[in-house]
Amino acid sequence: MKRILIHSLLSIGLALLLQSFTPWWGVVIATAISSYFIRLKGSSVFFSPLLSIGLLWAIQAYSISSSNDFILAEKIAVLLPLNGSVGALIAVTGLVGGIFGGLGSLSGRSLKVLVS
Amino acid sequence: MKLIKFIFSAALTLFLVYAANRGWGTLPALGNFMSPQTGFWQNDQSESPEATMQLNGLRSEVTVHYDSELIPHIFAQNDEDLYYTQGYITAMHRLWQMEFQTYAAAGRLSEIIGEKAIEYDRGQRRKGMVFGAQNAINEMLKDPVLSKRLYAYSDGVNDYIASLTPEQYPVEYKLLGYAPETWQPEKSALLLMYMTDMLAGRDEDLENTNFLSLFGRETFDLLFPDFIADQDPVIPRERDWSDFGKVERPESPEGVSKAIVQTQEVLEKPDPDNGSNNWAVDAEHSESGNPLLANDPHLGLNLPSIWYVMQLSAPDHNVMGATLPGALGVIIGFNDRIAWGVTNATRDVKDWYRIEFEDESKKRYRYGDQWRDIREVVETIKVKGANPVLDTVRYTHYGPITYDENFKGNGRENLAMKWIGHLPNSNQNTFLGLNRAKNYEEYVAAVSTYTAPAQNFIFASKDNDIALWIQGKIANKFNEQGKFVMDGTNPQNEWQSFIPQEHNPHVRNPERGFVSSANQHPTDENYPYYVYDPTYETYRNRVINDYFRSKEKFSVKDFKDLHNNNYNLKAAEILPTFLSMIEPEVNNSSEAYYSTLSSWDYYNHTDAIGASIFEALWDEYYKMVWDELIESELALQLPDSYQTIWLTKYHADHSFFDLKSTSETEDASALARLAFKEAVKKLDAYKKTGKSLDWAAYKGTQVGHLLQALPAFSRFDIPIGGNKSIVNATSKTHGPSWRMIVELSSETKAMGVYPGGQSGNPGSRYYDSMIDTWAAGDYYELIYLPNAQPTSAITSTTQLKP
Repeated sequence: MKRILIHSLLSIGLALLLQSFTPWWGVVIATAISSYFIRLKGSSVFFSPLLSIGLLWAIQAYSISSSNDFILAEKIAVLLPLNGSVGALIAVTGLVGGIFGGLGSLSGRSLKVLVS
Repeated sequence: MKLIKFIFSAALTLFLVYAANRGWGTLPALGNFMSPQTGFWQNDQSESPEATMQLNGLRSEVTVHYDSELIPHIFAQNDEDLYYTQGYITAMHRLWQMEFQTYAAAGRLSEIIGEKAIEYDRGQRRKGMVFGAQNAINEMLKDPVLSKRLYAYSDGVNDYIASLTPEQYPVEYKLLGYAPETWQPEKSALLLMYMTDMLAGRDEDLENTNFLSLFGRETFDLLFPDFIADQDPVIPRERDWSDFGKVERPESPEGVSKAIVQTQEVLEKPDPDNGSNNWAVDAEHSESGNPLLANDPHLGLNLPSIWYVMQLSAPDHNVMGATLPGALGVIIGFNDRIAWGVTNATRDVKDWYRIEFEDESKKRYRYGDQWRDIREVVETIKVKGANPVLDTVRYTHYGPITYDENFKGNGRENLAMKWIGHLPNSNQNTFLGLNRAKNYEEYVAAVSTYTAPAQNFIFASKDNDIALWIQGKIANKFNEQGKFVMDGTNPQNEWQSFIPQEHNPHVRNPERGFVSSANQHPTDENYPYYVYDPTYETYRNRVINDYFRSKEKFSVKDFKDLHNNNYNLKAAEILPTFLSMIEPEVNNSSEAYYSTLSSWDYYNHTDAIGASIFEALWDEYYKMVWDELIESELALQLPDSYQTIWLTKYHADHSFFDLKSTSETEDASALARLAFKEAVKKLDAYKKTGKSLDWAAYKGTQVGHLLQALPAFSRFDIPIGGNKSIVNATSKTHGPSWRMIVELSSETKAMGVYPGGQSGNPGSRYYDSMIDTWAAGDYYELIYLPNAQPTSAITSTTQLKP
């Protein structure tokens, strides 16, 4: 459990750092690095970063949008289409970020296994 | 195994990253679009101007104040800084729109939205939109002062673009997956061309020719007369034209009014309701003793709005009003001496010539007794997600051959376009001149070089001059020249000359004390030049002028009321006839509708159920009357409402009233009863959806996003009255796109509103912040600062430093 927590914090920290100068897929590199150095077991290799990066994106999306009364979020939630639900839009955002976090983690882990 | 695992997970990751990094069909690049760092979330913010900005393109410091509607008030110390800042600030709020409209003008939408725009793009190329813009910009750049200003504006836009990182791009770029490109003065010309096409791009020559060939001369004249007796022209009928002396008019060649070609498919036309109202009263007719002027241009209702309001101030002038993002200066506005406005002065300025080629190589075409060379232009249309499309457009000396065997028309013949929009011009200068004009003489000097789209330039000044010039470059035509497709081999069919500018109709300080225009006929039939256009307005002009004849003095409140006037003159002129035609067949199911309709007062107010019933009845009736034309294989135009009503009242047994789909022979009366039955059916079905029959709900006015009215970025069911042909010309998707009232008191007072907001960002609170005020018929005070000192109305200020 402690390992998962450390992994999550490292992933989030790296993601924040990388995102300031990489495209959106910086999260993939962040979780790949985390999983290269911190060994997670079983399905947590995918699901731990799914949760941590998912949460990161969701919180970031919420905090940007809430300070503007969700004006655009409400419109994009019509466009996508999510019935205008901002909650669903934030969830989808988290899911997209999370999936790529998970994929990065899987790659990092399998690279580590390969080279060790 | 380890290797396989690694390869598998790495490949899957890379593939999905790739897949989420690009758009699929209409879907945006999902990863990029959803990311809080790069995607749309970054656009979820409203403008909060910075206190200072460093802009290397400036020569001196510039102050930009903003008021509570995000209207910028720019104070520059020289002209170049002024237009640089106009470009920069406009781009800051409207970049995507500026680019999109110029892409649309140039026939480049396929680059952005893919294959579905190819036909549109081909049409734009074949209309010679870029050809016209190039002719204009070449002319404009010859003028050293204008050239500097155009480049300054362009630099401002480009410096703003250069300051952006991709995550700061407007959300539409992210949605469609492209990036802004460099702005150039040519794009300003393209934007003006976009307006010219919207306002002077309509003609019905091909349809007229088809009609003539199907129904003959007599019927054509009956349904499409050049003049209508009871109309109230822009220039008062009192005007006597004898001071022109005997004017030169070209002679009509043989056979010009014959139908020489039939066509099935024509280009999509600009909305016939593109038009406007303007009016002004002099000091003697103003309650406050100050001249008053009002204007409201009627255009498609879009977001981001076509207009962007600004105050532009430099040492030699201080102007405020509505600008067009992409063009320099203020287009409709006022300064500390004058106010001006425009309505479209439609005239047939687009003609068609049938071209005869020497042989199939299409290298030379006949002109009189000689062969002339074709100039071939191969247009390359880039298409998003597909190979580029090539299209050869052949240019004659008239203009481009729009229709040929590869494009619409009748799939066979070659029809070349002659259009005022293609001629070299410096129309941009007219507006910059008006921005600086201090009196009548300077106003006339500014408008006199203007070519197209011809406008009714209304004017009022603190010297108590009111005036209106109908200005444009108009061919001096022989009778019916260009009403029908002409034979391009006969040089006599050519535009021979233009009406001398000083003979363009105008009026200054008329005895009646007001000037006005509403896209109606410019003059009465005694004006000595040939005047023709198929879309002259027939109702608003009479309501407006009757109002100004109804009393002695007018106030700002009267002006507001007139902007918002919902009186439906068309209904008043036909409904009593309809009611007596319908009455014998009213039954239980239609009685309620009939009685509501009979007690309706002809006002299309928001809550008027009678208006909904009338409009439903009218729509059905109109379709039934012209069923022969609607169902024809040839391209045809329907006669307008006015002529339809006239025919109903005075030729009720005309064969057009007979429905082709029934065996009986209907007259107007029978048709009205059928239309009423059909309307009742439609209204019943509508009621079953649970919606209100109130006019505003039934009409459902909407303001649609420029990108095919993308619902998420559009506004629907806006509670506003009016309709086309009504002074408050708000129909479902079209209406007053800017309303302005100016009082020329010692300190100019003005108010304005438009159905949108200053920001082009759908994520901004300023995106559509004025719509509710607009719908309610209210206005914002336009904060006209005399100098750079802020007042309490200023909410924030940015200092721009060189």
